[in-house]
Amino acid sequence: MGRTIPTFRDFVREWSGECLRMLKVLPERERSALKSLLDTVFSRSDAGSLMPSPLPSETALLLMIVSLKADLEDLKGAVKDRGGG
Amino acid sequence: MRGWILDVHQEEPGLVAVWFKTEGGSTIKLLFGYEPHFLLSSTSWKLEDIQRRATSVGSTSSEFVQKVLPSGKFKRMLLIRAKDERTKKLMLRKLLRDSGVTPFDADISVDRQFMMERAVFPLAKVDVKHTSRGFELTLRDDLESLEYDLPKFKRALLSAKTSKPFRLGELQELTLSFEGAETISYDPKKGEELVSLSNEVMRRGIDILFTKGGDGFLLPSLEESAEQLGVHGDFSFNRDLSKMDLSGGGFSFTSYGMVRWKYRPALLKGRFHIDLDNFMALPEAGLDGVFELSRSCCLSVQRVARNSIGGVMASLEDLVAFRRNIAIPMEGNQPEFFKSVLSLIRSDRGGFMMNPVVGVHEDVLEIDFTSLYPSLIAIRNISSETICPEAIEGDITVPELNLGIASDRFGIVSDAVAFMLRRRLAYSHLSSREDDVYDRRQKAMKLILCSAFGYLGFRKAKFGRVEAHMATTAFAREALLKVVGLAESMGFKVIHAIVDAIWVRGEVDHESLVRRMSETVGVPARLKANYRWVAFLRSKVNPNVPVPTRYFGVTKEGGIKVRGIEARRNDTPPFIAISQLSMLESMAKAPLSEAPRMAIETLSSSLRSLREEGVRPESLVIRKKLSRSPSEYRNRVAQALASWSIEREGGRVMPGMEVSFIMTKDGPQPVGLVSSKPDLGFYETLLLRAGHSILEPFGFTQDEVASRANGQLNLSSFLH
Repeated sequence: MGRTIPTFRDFVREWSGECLRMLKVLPERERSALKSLLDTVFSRSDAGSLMPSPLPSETALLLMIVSLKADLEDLKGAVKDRGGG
Repeated sequence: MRGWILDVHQEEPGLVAVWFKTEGGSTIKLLFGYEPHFLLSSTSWKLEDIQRRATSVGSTSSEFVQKVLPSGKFKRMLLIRAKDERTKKLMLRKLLRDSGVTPFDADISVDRQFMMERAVFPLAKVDVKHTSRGFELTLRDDLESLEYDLPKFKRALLSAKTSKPFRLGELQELTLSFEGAETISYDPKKGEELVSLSNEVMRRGIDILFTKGGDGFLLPSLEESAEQLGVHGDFSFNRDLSKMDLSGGGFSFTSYGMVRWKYRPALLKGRFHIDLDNFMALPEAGLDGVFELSRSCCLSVQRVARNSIGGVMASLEDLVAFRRNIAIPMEGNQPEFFKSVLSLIRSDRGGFMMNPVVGVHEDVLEIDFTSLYPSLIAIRNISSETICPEAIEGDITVPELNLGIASDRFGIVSDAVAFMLRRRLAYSHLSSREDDVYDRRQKAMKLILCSAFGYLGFRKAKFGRVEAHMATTAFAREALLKVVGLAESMGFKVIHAIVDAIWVRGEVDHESLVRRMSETVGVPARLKANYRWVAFLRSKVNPNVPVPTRYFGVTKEGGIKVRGIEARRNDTPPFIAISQLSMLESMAKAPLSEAPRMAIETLSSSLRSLREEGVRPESLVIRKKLSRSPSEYRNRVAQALASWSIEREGGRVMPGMEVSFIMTKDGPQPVGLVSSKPDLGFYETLLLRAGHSILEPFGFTQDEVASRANGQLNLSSFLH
C-alpha cells in the first residue's frame, strides 16, 4: 500500500487503460494480442512490485518480454518433442 | 481500606474525585487535591519570561524540571500547573501564541495524569489511608500481573421503545433488566417514573449500566424528558446524583479510507456506562478485554469501550513515555527525512503479495507468522526516535532502504508493542478454551497490536514517523521472500503468499518448514490451516487475473475458511451469506469430485426457498454505510434512496452511519418502513452470483450455474 507513490498494481491498472486506447485502430488479431500482453503484466504484478522504478512502464515491458520468452521456450520444447528441432 | 480504583474525574478546580470500590462491595468517592500540568520547552530566557507571567494567565505553580525528549536528549523544561483542565487549555492557548515554544504533556487528560503521577491505574487494587494531608493511595497490584482480582460488578441493561422506527417519535417504554432476568418497566412520560428509574439504579448499586444507543440517543433523550417534566434535579445516573454531562450528537471521520460515524460519549460518574451500539472494535474481547486494556494502558474503562484501537495504542505509548520521564509531545511533529524520488519509490511500499495460482488445489498448508508486524517492530526496535536517516556501525540496517535503527536505546513504540506482545503470548498460553477470560484478554491485545503498525505512519501519532512505517514493511517483505525461497528449497510448491502467510503444497514434513520459518525470521510461525482443498479465485473484472484476497477452502478437520467472497462482506444479506456458506458446508461433506454437484443441490434448495417466499424479510436486509450526507448523493444508489426515505420520516442520517434496507418491487425501503413485497428477482440474481463465486474455480460459467440450479429445481419439483 503506497502512501504517495501508486503501487505497481495501481500503475498497471491505469497504464493498461491508456494502452487500450490503441484498440480502436489495431487490426482484430492484434487487439487480442495487446489484451493478452497486458494480462501477462497483471498476472505478474507481484514480480513487478519487487522492482520499484521511476518508470514502471519499463518493468511492465520487461514482464511482457519475460512472458513471450517463456512462451517461445515452450514452443521450442514442443517443436523439439515433435522431432522438428 | 483496600479496594479498587474504578474511575477518576475532575470534581472541581484543584480537586479530583477517585471512585473507589472496597473489598466489602461499597463504592465511595474520595477527593484528592490535584492540579493538572503541562510542560513548555524553549530557550531559557523565554521560559523564564513565561514563568514570570504564568500566574497572571492562571497558573497555580510552576517550576523548572529536567525531562527527556523523545530523541533521548535531556532538556530543561518549565512545568506549569493549572487548577483544572479548562484553565490548562486556556493557558496553553495564550502561551502558545509566542512562537518558539513547544508544549509537552499538554493533551493528557486530568484523570490519566493523576493516575500516572500516583503510579496507579484503573481497576488497580490499592490501599487508601487518610492522613493529615488527605487521602493516600498505595498500590497493591502490579501492571505486569496476569492473574489479578477484579471487583464483582452489578450490571443492568436499560432499553427503550419508541413510537416510530429509527428511534423517532416519543419514548414509549423503558425497561431496566438485571442479571437473573428480572426486569422493571417505566413510563418515560411520567416524571415520577423517571425519578423512580434513577433511584432503582442507585438502590441496586449498579456498577455497569449497559444501553443500546445510550450515547447518541437514550441518555440525552431521558435527560431532556426529565427537564421538560420538571424532575431534572432528581434524575441522574451519576452515582453522586450530580448533573449528567451529556452533549449527545456525534461526528463523522475517515479511517482507512472509510467514512465512519461516532457518537459523543455519555460518560457517567461512579459507574460505567457501556453503549453496546458504540462499543468500538471490541465486541469479541468483551468486558474482560476492556478491563485488561483499561489497566494496561491507564485509560478509563468508559473511554476504552469507546476509543478507536489506535487511540488505545496511543495511550499505552504515552504511559511508556511517562514512566521513562520522556516529555510527551502533543502530536507527531517529526518532519520526514529528505529523500530523492528514487529513494521514495523504493521506500513507499507495503507488504509483499505473491499472486495465487488460480483454481482448486488439494492438500495445501497455510502457514503464517504470529503478529508479524508487531513482532518486527518489537524485535527490530522500530520507533520514530530510533530510526536514523543512515545506518552507522552498530545500527540495525533496514533492508532495501538506506535507513538505520539505533540499537543503543529502546524505542517508545517498540517498548509498548513488546509489552502487549508479551501479555498476549502469556494469555494465549493460559487460555484453555475459546472465549475464556484469558482468551478474551488476548483477543483485546491482538486488536490493539493490529493497530501498532498503521499507527506508526499516522501523521498525528505522537511517536510515529513514516520511515518507521516504511522500515516495518521492508523487514516484512524481506521475511516473506526469505520464507518463499526456504519453502521452495525444501521441496514445497508455493501457491500463494501474502504479507505474513504462505500457502504451500508438498510431501515434506510441514513441521520442519514451520520451525525453519520461525528460525529464519525470528518470529514464531504456525500452521494455520491444513486444507483438504482450497480454491483461489480470479478477478470478476478480468478473468485472466488472479485476486490475492478471494479464496475459500475446506480443512482436513472439515472446517471451512472463506475470505473476500460474498459471505464475508458486511453488505451481503444474511440469506445470501448463509446460502453460500451452506453450499460450502455441503461441499465439505463430499469428496472433491462430488463437491460441485453438492453445491448446486444446495443452491437449488436456497433458490426454491426464495421463490416460494419461504425467506424471512430480516434475512433479506442489506446494510450499507453512507459515505456522505444523504443530500450529497447525486446518483440514485440504493443507500441514498433508503436514507432519503428515513429523512422524509423525520430521521437523521449522517456520513459514516449505516442504513439497513430491503430491496422491494418499489425500490429500496428502510427496515421499519417496508410497505412493499421484496424484489425476489433481485435477490435471485445475488444468490446466483454468490453461487458462481463458489463454482467458478470448478469451471462453471455464470450461465451454467443458473441453468444447473434451475434444472435441479425443475427436476426436484417433477419428482415431488
